[in-house]
Amino acid sequence: MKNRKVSVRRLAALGLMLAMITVLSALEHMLPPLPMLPPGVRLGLSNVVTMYAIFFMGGRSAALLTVLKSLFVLLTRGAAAGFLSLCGGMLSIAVILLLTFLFKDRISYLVLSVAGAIFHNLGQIAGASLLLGSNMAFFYLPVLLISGVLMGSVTGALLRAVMPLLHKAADGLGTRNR
Amino acid sequence: MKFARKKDVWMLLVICLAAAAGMALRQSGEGRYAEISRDGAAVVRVELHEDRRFSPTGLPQMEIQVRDGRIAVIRSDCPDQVCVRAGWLKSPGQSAACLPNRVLVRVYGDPGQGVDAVAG
Repeated sequence: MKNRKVSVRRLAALGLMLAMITVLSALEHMLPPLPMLPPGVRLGLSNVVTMYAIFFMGGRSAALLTVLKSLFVLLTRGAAAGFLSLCGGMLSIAVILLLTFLFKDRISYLVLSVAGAIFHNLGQIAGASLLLGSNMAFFYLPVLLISGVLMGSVTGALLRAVMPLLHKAADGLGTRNR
Repeated sequence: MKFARKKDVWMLLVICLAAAAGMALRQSGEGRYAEISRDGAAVVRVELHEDRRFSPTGLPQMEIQVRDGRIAVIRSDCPDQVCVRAGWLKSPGQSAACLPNRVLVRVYGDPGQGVDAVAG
């Protein structure tokens, strides 16, 4: 980012996005986790906003939001949780960006959403495996896939539903620059 | 870009079915013993057929209970309590992890069964 001036408008929009992300993240963490699921797998409500950012505000903005979200998790839930959040979040947006780059318009939002969810979970489990010195990632693979499909579908549907709201929040900065 | 196409829904269904099949194949039922490890190194091996309640050596802040062939983390000093909320573990492969304490409780079945290899 050499001579790129960040407009105040963009800054405000990103701030609003981050606020939504952190509130959603905090909210869903208060829900009890399901026992069959790997530790830390949640609904992924905050990913609705992150995905909006990927599609309409650019990969850089999305990456920034993800890092800041992980920082928030670090502050509220500790280093381990923050690390997992970073792993999951970064892998997730990397995969979505890659798929979008490879398939352009031939891929649907639903598939991108599901892929994002699956790799978000996978990233978190991989991070946990790293910290614990275990290979538990492999055991959880089928559960990861199913929960990724289910939750990815939910977040995808939610994204579609709240898209006009998010466009407003982005204050007109949400444009598909493809 | 479309939101969803018919073939996408089919593909996702197939993935779910394949995953479900994988799960069904693997669940070998009852767990025989559990291994509690810290930082990847095994700390204690717990037989599940005898009821116990204890704290793993060197980990007074955590409490483990074995009952009716199942094992659970009863108490822990960690802030997120993910390990406690994991509940009762019974089948081989199931695990409860306490990330702040870097502890993993994992159930194993009869040796030779299942797909998992034991990490180093």
